[in-house]
Amino acid sequence: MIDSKDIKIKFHESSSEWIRSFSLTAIKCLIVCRGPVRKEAMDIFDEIGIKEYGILLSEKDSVVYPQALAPEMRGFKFINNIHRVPDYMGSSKEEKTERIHEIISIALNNSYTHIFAGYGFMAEDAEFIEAIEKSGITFMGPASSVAKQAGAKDEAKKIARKLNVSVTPGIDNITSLALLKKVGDKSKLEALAKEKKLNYSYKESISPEENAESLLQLSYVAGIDLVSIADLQDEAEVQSKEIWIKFPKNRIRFKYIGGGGGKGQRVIGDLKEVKSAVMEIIAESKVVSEGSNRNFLIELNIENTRHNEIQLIGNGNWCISLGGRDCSLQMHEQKLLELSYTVELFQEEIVAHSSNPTRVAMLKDDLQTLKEMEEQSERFGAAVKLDSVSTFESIVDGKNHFFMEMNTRIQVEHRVTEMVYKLKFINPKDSSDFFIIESLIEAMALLSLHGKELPKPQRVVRNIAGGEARINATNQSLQPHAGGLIQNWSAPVEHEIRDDQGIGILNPDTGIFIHYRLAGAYDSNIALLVTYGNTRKENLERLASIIRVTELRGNDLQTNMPVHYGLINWILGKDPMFKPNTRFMMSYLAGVGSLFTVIKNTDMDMLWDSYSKDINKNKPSLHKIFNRKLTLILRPIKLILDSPHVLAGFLGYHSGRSFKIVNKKVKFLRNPLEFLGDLYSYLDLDPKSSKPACDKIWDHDDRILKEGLEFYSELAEILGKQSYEEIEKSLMSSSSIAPDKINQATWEKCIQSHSAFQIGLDLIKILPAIGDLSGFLEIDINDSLEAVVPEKFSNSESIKELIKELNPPPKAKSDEILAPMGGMFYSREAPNLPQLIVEGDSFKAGQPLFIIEVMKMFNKISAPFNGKIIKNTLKDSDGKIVSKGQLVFKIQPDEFLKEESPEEILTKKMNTLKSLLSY
Amino acid sequence: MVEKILPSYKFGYMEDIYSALQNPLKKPESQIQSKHTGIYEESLKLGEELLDKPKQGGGIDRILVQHSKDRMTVWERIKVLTQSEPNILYQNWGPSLDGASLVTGILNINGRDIAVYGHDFTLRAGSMDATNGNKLARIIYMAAEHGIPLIGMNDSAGAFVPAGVGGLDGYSEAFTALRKISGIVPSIMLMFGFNAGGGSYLPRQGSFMIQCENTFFGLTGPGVVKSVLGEDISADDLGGPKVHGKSGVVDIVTPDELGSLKTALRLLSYLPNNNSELPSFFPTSDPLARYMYEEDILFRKTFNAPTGMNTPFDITLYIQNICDHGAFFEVQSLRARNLITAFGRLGGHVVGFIANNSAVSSGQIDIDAARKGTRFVRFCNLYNIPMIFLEDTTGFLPGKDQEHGGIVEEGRRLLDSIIDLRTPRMTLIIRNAFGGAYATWNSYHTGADIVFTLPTARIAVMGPAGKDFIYKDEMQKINKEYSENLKKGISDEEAKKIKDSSLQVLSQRYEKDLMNPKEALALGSVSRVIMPGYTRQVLGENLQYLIRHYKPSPMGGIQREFE
Repeated sequence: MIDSKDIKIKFHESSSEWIRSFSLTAIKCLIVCRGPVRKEAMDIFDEIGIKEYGILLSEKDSVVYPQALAPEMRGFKFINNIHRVPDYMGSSKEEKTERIHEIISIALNNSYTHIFAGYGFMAEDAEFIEAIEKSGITFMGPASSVAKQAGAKDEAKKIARKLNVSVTPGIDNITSLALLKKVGDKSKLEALAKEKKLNYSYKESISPEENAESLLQLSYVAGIDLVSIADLQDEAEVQSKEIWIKFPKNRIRFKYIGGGGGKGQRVIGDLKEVKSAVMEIIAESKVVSEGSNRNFLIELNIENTRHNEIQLIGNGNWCISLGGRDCSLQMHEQKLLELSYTVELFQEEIVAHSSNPTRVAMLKDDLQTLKEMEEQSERFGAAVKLDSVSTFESIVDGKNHFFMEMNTRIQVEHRVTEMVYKLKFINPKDSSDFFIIESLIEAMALLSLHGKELPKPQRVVRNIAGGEARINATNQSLQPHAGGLIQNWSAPVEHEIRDDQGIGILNPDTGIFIHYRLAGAYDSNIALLVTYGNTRKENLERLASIIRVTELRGNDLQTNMPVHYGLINWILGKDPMFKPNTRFMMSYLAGVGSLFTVIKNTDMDMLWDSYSKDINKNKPSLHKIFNRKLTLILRPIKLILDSPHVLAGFLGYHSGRSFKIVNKKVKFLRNPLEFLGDLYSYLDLDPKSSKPACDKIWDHDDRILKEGLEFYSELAEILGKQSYEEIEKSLMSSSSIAPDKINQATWEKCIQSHSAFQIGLDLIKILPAIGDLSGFLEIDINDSLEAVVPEKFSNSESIKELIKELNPPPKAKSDEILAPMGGMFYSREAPNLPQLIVEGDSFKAGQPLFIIEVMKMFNKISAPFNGKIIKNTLKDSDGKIVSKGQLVFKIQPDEFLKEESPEEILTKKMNTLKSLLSY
Repeated sequence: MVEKILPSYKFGYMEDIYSALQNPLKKPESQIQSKHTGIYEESLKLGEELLDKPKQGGGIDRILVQHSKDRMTVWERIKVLTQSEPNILYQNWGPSLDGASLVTGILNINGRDIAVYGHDFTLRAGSMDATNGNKLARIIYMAAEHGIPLIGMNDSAGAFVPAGVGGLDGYSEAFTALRKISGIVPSIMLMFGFNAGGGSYLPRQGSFMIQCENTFFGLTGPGVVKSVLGEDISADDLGGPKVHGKSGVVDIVTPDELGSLKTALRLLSYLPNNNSELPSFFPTSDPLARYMYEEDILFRKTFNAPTGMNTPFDITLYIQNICDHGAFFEVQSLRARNLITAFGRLGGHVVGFIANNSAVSSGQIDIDAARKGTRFVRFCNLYNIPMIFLEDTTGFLPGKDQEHGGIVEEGRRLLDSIIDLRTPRMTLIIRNAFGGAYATWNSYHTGADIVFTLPTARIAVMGPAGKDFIYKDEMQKINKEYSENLKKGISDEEAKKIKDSSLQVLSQRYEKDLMNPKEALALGSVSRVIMPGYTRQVLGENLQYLIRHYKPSPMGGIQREFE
């Protein structure tokens, strides 16, 4: 913590008795999660002076994948506190119970006082938290009562409605409504209860619906159905019709109360779809069996969804909000880029744009929405007696905001909030005695040990803006890509906060970077990149700048760094306060896919040759100079074309700034030489002396670039003109008489130099040309700061096709699967197990198909691509010897390799060339 | 006034920028104008030109071509190896005074002196002419004389045809020099660009070869191959990194030039300076007595799987958990992965790990694996690197392909290299150790210092199939019972069941009697059992002991890295 003198110390080191009372040295904490929060917690625990901490280590993080040993272990302080478990949680219900028991045993046997579960796995699992509470160990997080109340979606909505917290129109008690509709009133309910032998009595003090609910709860315990799935389907149709009266244009979402991560949900647009949707969500959530609680939410589906959330913190008595976060930039329900929303941010923006009344009005609306959400969330948090940190998640549509759910845990993006606010705890008896907390994990530790004694804190502004980019092991289409090996990651730079699970910890003995394989055992998240700023613009610029200079090298390594780089630059080019909805990333990705479809038919060498011929014919005196600029011009263009996401960002940033498209022609708005220089900087090719030559502009090219830029700037100074257009006009004017201050001979040299520096720079037009030809440049932002997306990037069919371009699936080479080695063939792993695959089955790449045993070693052979077994030539052949190359299966691969003939490829390239040259 | 003469490294490019690509508004640089331009000033000017000449290479046009292929110049590559100023020798060698397209010198890499040579492809395509073979030989001999490692950056089109026989002689000189230092100082050869002919042989005389993507080397290029043999094949398929990585001609493959240079530096950290020294020792913060939970978990999972003692597993997982902080460096990782060769540190000491990998081909030793292993063992032998042999093999691979390929000879080579091994060497038997493979794989009688075993080991003449030999009588009895049962009228199915269960009992007896390390321990062929979890500690402490009593020295007699 930071004391009143602004010094970072531990609680027990303070001179103030009151502050010392909050000492954390009694804590011995077991960290049971993994991911970036694990290392973050370890580091915070070191800082705040707890006694000891320990971690769990799963087999997948130690002994299943080579070169994937958990990096947190490097130099781990408490070597006896690494507790090996088969996995962090269980894959089945039985395994989960077993694991909970195991974890608590570990904690008890090793005298841990607290358990920290971060996010993911069992952090919000009421069963887990209850078990911990029963055992006498303190759970460093919200109590199980909070998890039960606020964690279940229907419960949470009920509480919200009672508190007048804005929720999505809809119902959360369809099972009760269905029961009431089926039986009728009080007497019928009691009769039914008697018939089913349930100990039930109707209470007049509560509503009929609540009475029906009580009866239903009894039936779940007894394991009998009072309403059938058909009853639910009927009632769902009735309710949906109701909603459509008020909101005829919207779709409706059915959401199972226990679902999460996109499961157990369906969105319908028509009455016809209701029955099957109900059946599907019930089946998906595995509640088909008799006596299951099949309650699901029916709510209005907000189309232009923005995903905002409020960070809450409380001690069971007070609850305050710590501002909001916008998490609308997401793909496949996974968040990508999270940015802060605070009242201070809006106020600052209002001041900055005071001359723009439309803008100010919009900002004031957003400010109002935020204030409402913060106020409502605080009341909600207080009502559920929140005693740690949680997040109040809402969806926003224009000025409307609707509470969705509460996540009763710390979240991945909590760092964003840490960037914008800190907490000031003041001694109620002495206002000069206070301490400041900057870390939410530290706050959690404090609350878990001294919660009741903590006074309600003040929130203090730390920065106006904060933001986080999630760095994931995904390919260009944002799908997980496992198996990459990280061979180097440059150290964090100024303003960069990087939570990387310890991957960056160098070998403590030799100081060399330790190779780390992204095995893909869990999720694709590698690290979190966090930074801050005095404005949203500065925040994003810093984030872009950090990624720009970061070197992340490896083998078969694919991350979303280029995606972030492009996206952030694109946003900076449009408007830092961009308000995307949750579908934007799909459209953006489709746009990048479209860029790629043009890039793959763009042959820069052909283009160069065509230009070269042209110059040789029309301006032969400049031909030698043109050739001299081969690498200067072609290199950065080829580099950026290698990465469509990076190109997307460059185009987004510079469109309207350095170029514009007028009547299908590219027009430079600045000196093209400066534009080229910007391209070099954008690609992090600046001539820093410590970089290897292959990672920066070639020295001979730098000479030309520097010389040219110096020339133009000196010329501008002498001529007293600032715009390049004016300078160019003078230089190109037919009179060629020297202006004042320059003698004629020098002026003629200037004209020559200008031609020399400019020749060939037209080639750079290829980049905006590709942007226009692909339609990518049409993606824009309107005055309301919302995205404007052309049709082909918003219709789901073409989106799918375009995104697929970015990551074509592996194609089959033939229709056979052969034995890769000689030996004894087995179709199953053990005599009592079923066959691995049979005729007619489909298989996916990597799936084990059969076993070949060589000298008693059983080798599992996996499928190299996706397909279907058409014929099994080794039926009943277990134990038979096969030879290397012998045919095992005849298959039908999912995708056949369509080989293009060289002529077809050439034609495509020629056509693209023609179109691009026309710009 | 006497002004200090600044070593002016005028980038030749300045004159080379065509006059139109200059800033006409710039004020001319003030030169240190001497009032005199006498003889002394003339000689100063000459000195500067001579110092400058080699840095210019073949001039801006050729440098442009090199860069346009995304290749660095030799000077830029040197800068990656070390930021400190290189000490370049024979700078103006050759009639053109340009260094004869070969740069040789001494670099300071993290405090170590490293000899380096690199072809300057921008000058006559880095070719060998009548004189620079001698220049190359000189740096090679110097490296050996001073006992420092050599890094070679090969980027040469081969012999300079106009130089005639002189160019070929140049190669002979260089070949000879490299052979003469082989076994005295380790060398790391990096392949850049397109190398053919002599340019391919020469680097392979070095200890390690590293090749990156978009490079080629081979006897001749695809063009000549097409015209002479009619074979239509791309450069990458003929002599690219995947081809050579698989055959073992190249030891390490990297994605690009930068990767090759960085990998060379990483590899260097495991190598000693010469054959009289041990590799550098780094005191480690990873406790030697660290209990290896992962070892226990790995073997428990593996052997308790449905396929029991016949379940394969990836041996690199084991090596990873033994090494300090899990760091190890695999050599020839694209080839014969049924045998893993890697450098790692144990208790701060560099160790050469050689391990059978049951995850690939049951860990059997075939021709490729034998060759790979032999090379590695011989290298460690020459350079005083202790070795740890991890044993888990069902034996040498039999069959037509292997016999026709000469497995007997290759196996013999591996065996001999192990017998020759004079550095501290220990063996740990993990699971399978049968027959000839057991006898070959660093057993006590081949000269191992200590042989350990895990309790899971099965050391025997033959694997489970051996029961047919050991229990001959019992087998006969069972077969007799089977025929008698059939005669009695018992159905074929029933009789088979009875026979199978009797065979099962026999197999179990075999497992119990022979599929364990008891006999080997009794005979003293194995020193002791290590319980899973204690491998690092036991191996580490014994290693320390053995190194305490080992004096690094050049190998006696005439030995070379591989024969």
